[in-house]
Amino acid sequence: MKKAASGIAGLDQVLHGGFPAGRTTVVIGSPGCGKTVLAMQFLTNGAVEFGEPGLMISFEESAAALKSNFSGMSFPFGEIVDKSVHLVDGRLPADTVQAGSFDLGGLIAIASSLIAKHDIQRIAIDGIDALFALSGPGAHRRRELQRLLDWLTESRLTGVFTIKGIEDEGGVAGHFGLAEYIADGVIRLRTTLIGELSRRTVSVLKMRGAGFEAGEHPYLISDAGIRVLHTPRRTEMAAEVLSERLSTGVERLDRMLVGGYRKGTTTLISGLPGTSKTSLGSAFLNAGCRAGERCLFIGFDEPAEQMLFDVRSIGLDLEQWLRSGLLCAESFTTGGAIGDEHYLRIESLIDSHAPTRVVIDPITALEKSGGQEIAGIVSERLVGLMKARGITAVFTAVSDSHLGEMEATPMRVSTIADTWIFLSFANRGGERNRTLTIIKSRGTSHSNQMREMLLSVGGIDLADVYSAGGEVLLGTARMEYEQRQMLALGAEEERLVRELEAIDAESEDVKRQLRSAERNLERLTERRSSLIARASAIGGVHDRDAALVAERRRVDPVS
Amino acid sequence: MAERQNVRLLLFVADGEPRTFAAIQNIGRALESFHERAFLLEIVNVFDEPERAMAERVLVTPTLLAPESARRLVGDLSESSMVNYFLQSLR
Repeated sequence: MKKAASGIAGLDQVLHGGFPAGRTTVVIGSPGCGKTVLAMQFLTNGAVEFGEPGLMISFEESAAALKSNFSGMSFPFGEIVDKSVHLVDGRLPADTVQAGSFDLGGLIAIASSLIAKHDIQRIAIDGIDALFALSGPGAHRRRELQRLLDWLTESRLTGVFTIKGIEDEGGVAGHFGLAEYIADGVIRLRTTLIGELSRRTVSVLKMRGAGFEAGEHPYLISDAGIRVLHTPRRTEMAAEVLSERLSTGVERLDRMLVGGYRKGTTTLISGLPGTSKTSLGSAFLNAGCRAGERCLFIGFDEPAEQMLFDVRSIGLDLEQWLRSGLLCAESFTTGGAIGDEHYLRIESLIDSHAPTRVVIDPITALEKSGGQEIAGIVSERLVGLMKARGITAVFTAVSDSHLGEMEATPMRVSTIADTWIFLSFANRGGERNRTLTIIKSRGTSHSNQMREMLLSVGGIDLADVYSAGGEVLLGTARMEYEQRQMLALGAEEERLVRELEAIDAESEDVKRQLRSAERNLERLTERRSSLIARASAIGGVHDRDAALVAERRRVDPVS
Repeated sequence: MAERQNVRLLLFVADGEPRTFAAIQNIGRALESFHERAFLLEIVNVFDEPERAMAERVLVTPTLLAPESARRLVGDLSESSMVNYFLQSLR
């Protein structure tokens, strides 16, 4: 089935592409739930994005009121009204008296003439229940509604037909329940109370011949119109595992994580208040901005400027990135807003700023916006959103000290986050020292060791911790240990030096003895030589005499 | 009171609708029996003149409109007491 996209973020995904083209979809909802906004966005987007001129017939507001209400919206209604979106005031004048049954001939005649004149392709009929509320039996109302829908179908226009429903037990259509039987498609907008907060959701009650996402989808109304919360499904997610690493902004932490956070993954940094979660998140953003990446910081209940100012104490100048436009920092108030709204605002910021790194600080603040259950769902959706957009994200989470630190797992994020870093304090010897432990990191042969986290104007650093007698040494204890280690090394060195000196001295001795022995040997060799010389001289005479004697005595030659 | 003007009435109808015929009959009957003053009735088919329907914001038919006083009666005018009251009030 051909679809006519509404151009409303999230709604088109829920409707698998948009409203069925050439058909009429009934939108039912209680007063103030945004039916008119939805209809107007459908028309405006149709005209602006798809070149389909639209017609709005309103039974609730005058054309002037509509213009003034919608010209302030950030979608471009003001620019196209009366040009490609036309308004018809369908309200009955206040002093109208009814005398008998009526039909909608005037409406159809007016609409037909405008459709022909302006090549209208999308039509919205807003709040027709106001007309039927006049009186008339149910059968009559039903007949007239049916006729109107038939006419719309024949006109081949894509229509949105809004009807005010009274919220009852079933939440459906109230006094106008018949609409859902007649129309091909019915969408319901509704508001439910969670505590004192109202939660808006949209659901598709039926859609003949067209697929849709079932269930209640939260939505938000802002000056940008309606935005429906729709988590990309798994198939839409960028599934490839990226091996690229992004610096955490802390050199030692990068080394512990074999290069940094994996690109496109979400890291959870949890810990008690004051364990420097924000500092670690800020370092990540600072590293990103320095590499020329676009970054987004989302805070809660505290001005974003405050956070930017605070991290100056650890040498991070994030304000420069804010000025250069690489960094976008926003803060939301949790009170009075439901978690879904925060999701949609974050999604909308991601759309407009297009960051590659996002920090949400702290994600646990969502619990104040509708309770743990909604916070859990919203957090999961946020992780999904970051993955779908290929964003590397850091969510911080405040642990509750009443439950053991570790047990206070920040909602469900700890299970779906790819990396979980746990920050804590170690109390020993009257000191509170910050510690950092990597609890898990998917696809990384990370260091399991606890590190001491050191904050200074020079930034964040991590120090090795030592185990001594089953105890982990931190702070002063760590330094003392290191000093003792140094002293021990000193003594060892001294001993070695002394031994070397002794060996050198002995070697000299031996060399001296060697030289003296050599001289002795030399003298002996010389003495011997001289003795041999003398002996030869004597022996030479004797030999000569012996030869003479032998000749005289005619002796046989000596062999 | 001698120079009373005729009161102008516009009856907007949708041609071909069953209520159109009923409304025309009903207003004719009412005007006949109404002797106190004269009316000038014009019947407007909204499909022939949608601009006039738009100008007068006539979305439901039949609509009986007294343009001078901007008062209107909607429906097939089958409730004669309502119609008589409406005509009487146009002074």
